[in-house]
This record gives sequence, C-alpha cells and structure tokens, in this order.
Amino acid sequence: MPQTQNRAVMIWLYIFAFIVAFLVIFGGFVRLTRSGLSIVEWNPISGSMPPIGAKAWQEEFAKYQQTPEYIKVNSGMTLAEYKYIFYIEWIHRNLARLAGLVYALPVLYFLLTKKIPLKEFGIYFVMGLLFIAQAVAGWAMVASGLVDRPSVSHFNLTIHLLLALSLFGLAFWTALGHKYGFANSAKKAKWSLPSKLALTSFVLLLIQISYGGFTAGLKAGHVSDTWPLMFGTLIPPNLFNSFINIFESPQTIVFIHRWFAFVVFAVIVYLYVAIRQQDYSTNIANGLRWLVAAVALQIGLGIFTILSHVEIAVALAHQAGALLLFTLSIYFIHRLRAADAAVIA
Amino acid sequence: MKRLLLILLLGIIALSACADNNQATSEASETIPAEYAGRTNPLGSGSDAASQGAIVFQNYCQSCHGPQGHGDGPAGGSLDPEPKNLAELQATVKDDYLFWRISDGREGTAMVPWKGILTEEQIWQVIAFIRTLR
Repeated sequence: MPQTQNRAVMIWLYIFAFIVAFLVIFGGFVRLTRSGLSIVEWNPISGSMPPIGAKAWQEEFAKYQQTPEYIKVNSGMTLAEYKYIFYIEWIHRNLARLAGLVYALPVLYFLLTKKIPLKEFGIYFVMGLLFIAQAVAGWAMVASGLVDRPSVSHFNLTIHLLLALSLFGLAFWTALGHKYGFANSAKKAKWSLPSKLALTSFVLLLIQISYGGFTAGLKAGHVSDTWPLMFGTLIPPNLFNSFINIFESPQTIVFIHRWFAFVVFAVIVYLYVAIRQQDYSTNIANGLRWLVAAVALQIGLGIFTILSHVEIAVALAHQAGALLLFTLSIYFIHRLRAADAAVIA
Repeated sequence: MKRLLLILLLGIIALSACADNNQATSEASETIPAEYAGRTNPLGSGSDAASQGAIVFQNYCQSCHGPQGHGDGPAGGSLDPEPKNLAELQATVKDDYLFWRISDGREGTAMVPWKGILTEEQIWQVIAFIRTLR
C-alpha cells in the first residue's frame, strides 16, 4: 500500500476516476441505444479512426450486416441509421482509449520523477491490470453477441460493469489516501460497528448493481411497467420455482432488483442511526444524511425508470445514481476506517 | 405530370404491400425448434380458454402489445424493435410458432422468455386469446 501523499498524484487520480465514471455512464447509453454490437472488430490502435469515405462505410456496414443482430433484429437498417449506432460505440471506445492514456502517461511521469516511489507502485500497477482486463472484458462482451445470438451475454455485460467500477473505486480510494493520509499497515485498527455496516452496505450495493447489470443485459426493465405491483400482484407466482431463475430469468432478476434496493436502504439507515448514537465528527454524521438521501433518490429513480418505460434519460440518471452511491459508500468506508484508526493512535 | 404521379403512387403502394408481405411471411418462414414444431393448442379455441387468456394477457403482455394486441401498448413505444402486432401476426402463423415465441422469447428484443413464469396452460390460454384478436 502507498504511504507517500502527493497532491499532484491525487489530482491525477481524481481526473482518471472521473473519466472512468463518465465512461461507465456512457456505457449505459451504449446499452440503451443498442449500439454496442455495431463495430464487429477490436482494433485498439487503428480503430481510433472512423471509416473515411463512402467505400469504407459500405465495407464497415457490410461487416455489421453479417452479424446475428442485423440479420435477426435490425434487417432493413439504413446506412445512416448504422452510422448513428456506430458513432456511439466508437465514442465509447475512444473514451476508453483516452482513459488509457490518462492512466499510462501520468503514471510513467510520476514514476520517473519518483512522486510515486517504485516500492509503492503496486496499487497503480493493479489499476493498469484492471484497465487491461476491462478492455478485454469489453471485447469479450461484444464478441458474445456476434455469434449465433443477437445480443450480448448479461453475465459478460455485468463483468464489464463491475471491472469498470473496481477500477474507478481503486483510483478513488487511492486518491482519498493521498488527500487524508494512508492507513498504517503496521497497526490494524479494529472494525467498529459503523465501519462494519458501511462495508456491509457496500457489498449489498455491489450485489444490487450486479442485478442492475443483469437487468440491463436481459432488457428485463421492460417486463413490467407497474410498481409496486408486477403483473398485477405484489409477488408474482413462479419467480423462484427454479434456482437458475435467480441468474437467468429476466422476470425473477428484475423482481430481485426492485426489492433488494430496500435491503440496501435499510442497512444504510441502520448505519446512519448507529453513527448518530456515537461520537463521530459532524462531517461524517452530516455526510451520512447525503448517503441516505442518495439511496432514497436512487430508489425513486429506479421506480421512475419502470414507470417511464425505461426512458433513456431516466435510465441513465438511474445508472449515474448507482455510481454516486458507489462513490459515497467508498468515501464513508474510508472515513470510518480512518476514525477507527484514530481510536488506537 | 398527373400520370407520372399516379405511377409513382402505385409504385409506392406496391412496394409497401411487398414490404408488409415480406414482414408477415418472415415469421412463417422461421424454423421452429423441434420441441415446439407441430404443437397445437390443446385447449382449442373455446371462449373459456380465450377469456382466461385475456386475463393473463392483460397482466403480462398488454403493456407492450396493447389491449387489442396491435403492438401499441404504452411500454411498447420506446422499444426498438417495436412489439409485434399480434392481430396481424396470428393470421399468418400457426399455434406452434406462437407457443415457441412466448415460451422462449426473441433474443435481442424486449420479448423475454415466459416459459417457467407462465405455466404451459397459461401460454395456451394466451394463444387462444390472441386468436380472437382482429
């Protein structure tokens, strides 16, 4: 773990985390506009340029016309319509290239100038590995929709999302270390109740986000446009008559996603109450109000997504809300662990 | 000039008729998996099955396909591709096609599989109802 605080490294990590966050939200836009399968090859360098000239566009379109998505779902699509989805995916991929540069060039500079000491490079190296893994996972996801089936695997989509969040989370956590100081690895602080609750809510949030990924991947948000009732009842029959439904059935997955949100909400409210009953700084106590408000807002946006028939702007706001919650959760784990450490100092 | 416009208009009508025809026959030409091929509605087309199917349809299908199955439900407007017009579709396909599509859905679209969520009997009831749509 790093121990050396540096303001320039901190700013770089915030910028990198912000770009990754934007990439995640734009990824949601790619999904919602069904643009993700429009570029059928993965060329990390040459793919940074779009086709130039009518002939190049026709060739690119011809490749897309061989895909199951075109054949089974989009047959009859015009070149102009194809260009629209192509450019959305192309922007997403170029944003990823930008994120790669924003990672690689500064990290090299900070290493050379010893702002990042070589013995503390480990966590930054892991960020690089995560970035590469993320790129590979992105392509694996696209590739899963190019053979036989005209859509990507919802598992691949969720792995792609979680890897992006891991990268974002690691960069943000490390930036917080540069801002507030790094934990002393020699002195392990005990986990207080609020810290345990913050960690629990974070894990639950990850499960909830994973189900959000499954929901998006299976287009399960469209199966019912009513809330709280689903198919005219509170708990529709047959949702859990098979274990595999928990991972494969769109109806079961969206049902879990709808109601598991309240489990996350309950744990965060419990965390808020636990903090209020103990002697924490006003920064933490007041800040937790924002976390409670954010999770309530996120649930509201989720319901609105259902009622709006998965309107793109609303669904994107819902995804951005998940990212906000993820960010706040990391922030509070960081601050609560610092408070735990202060107790033994 | 009028003659030219008339020819153009007739041409457009002919083309759109062909396009509609292509669309209508595309489902009929799909290969139905062996486990579904040849199956017919064991409930028949009686009004009892259809009225039960209407209730299931209302709860599970109507939001996308619309109350009369015309593909104009409130949730269908934002979908790409749009929900099928079931009144038109049912006139061109057999029971086995409808049973297959409702059971397994259509990948790449918002038509998700309903097998396991709806019982086999419910799916046949829905098909009986779909057969009444005009």
